[in-house]
Amino acid sequence: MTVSEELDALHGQFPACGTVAYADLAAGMVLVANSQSTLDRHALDKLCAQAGCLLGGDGTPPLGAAAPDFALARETGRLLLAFKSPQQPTDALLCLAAPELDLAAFQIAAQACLVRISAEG
Amino acid sequence: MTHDDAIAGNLAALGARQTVFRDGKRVISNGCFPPPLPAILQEIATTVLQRQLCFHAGDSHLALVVSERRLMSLVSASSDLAEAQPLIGTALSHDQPEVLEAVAAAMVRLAQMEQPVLVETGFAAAAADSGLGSLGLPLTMLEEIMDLDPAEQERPMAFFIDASAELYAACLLHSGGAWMGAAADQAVLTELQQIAEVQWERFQASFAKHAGPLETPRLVSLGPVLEGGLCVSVVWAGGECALFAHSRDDLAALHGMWQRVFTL
Repeated sequence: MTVSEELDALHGQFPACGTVAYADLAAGMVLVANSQSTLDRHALDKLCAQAGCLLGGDGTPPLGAAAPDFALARETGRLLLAFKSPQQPTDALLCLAAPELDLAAFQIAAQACLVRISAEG
Repeated sequence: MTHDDAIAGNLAALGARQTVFRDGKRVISNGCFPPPLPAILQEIATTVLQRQLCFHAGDSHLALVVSERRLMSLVSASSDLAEAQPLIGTALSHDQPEVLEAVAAAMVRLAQMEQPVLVETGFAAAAADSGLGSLGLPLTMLEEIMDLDPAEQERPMAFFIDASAELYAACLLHSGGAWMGAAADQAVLTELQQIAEVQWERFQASFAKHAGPLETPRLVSLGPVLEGGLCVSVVWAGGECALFAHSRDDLAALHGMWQRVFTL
């Protein structure tokens, strides 16, 4: 599957996750987003900047001794999830979801999706 | 509580209120936070003009005419609120202790449904049916019999920390300009204290720059970032913040608890 197809498949499996995007944290930009995402380029860039702040895009751990593999930011009505690629630590999967997302199941599926995308890249 | 204090408290409560409606009814408690019974009493306290308030929890309901912090009459109650049945359609008065106890018992039962509590507010019926001629039941008497102090409103952060106690290994709360820690594992608490000393200000400023002001409740989780693969979660609410060290296995439950405490 192409990256775009992978993102669409993840969105199809978890409709509560409206945006699924593959990003380059070093460049600070989203490379591909799922076809159903309603976010424009500016909103995607903001999402990428927020994820970079949480994941330590510059390699510096934001909190603690190690840079995180994943980050979640929840506020009323919105949940941001960011997963760092184990193969390419500057690449990440960014997701914007409704609060009712099945968090445990989504984390497993998202990380598997990211591994497949990174392996093909 | 003086009259001025009551007015100030009511204005503060109205200003801080998140307004969420479900099926045309306003949600005043999600069944967990704010605690249902104080939420019901707060609703009565903030109803100044004469109104009919109907409280719903699951399939149960209790409808009252309320005016100036007094319960004037009981309009209707679902059949499961047995204590309230003899009082339906009657004016309420504080000089009947058994009436006070019955109303309090019905409210407590409604609050214990572990269901979201919703309220419908409407104009009261004609004066003859709304207990206007009666003395009414002062809210203060209900608070006394229920042993509730309206001045002691629980902070959502304190409630969250208590309710999540099984889900974290250490917690560090920043409140009133100082950090306060609690942990079963002192080494984990020390790691959180190091974060607070060295990384916290930079992280908070950076996050606020990208995510916006931190006045509204937020939760951020990063993992794994501590020794032993533990995650760190951060909660901001009501001008306070707290750091939690927890395992990845407890992440979903911690987020579920945040949802229960901080959203209606």
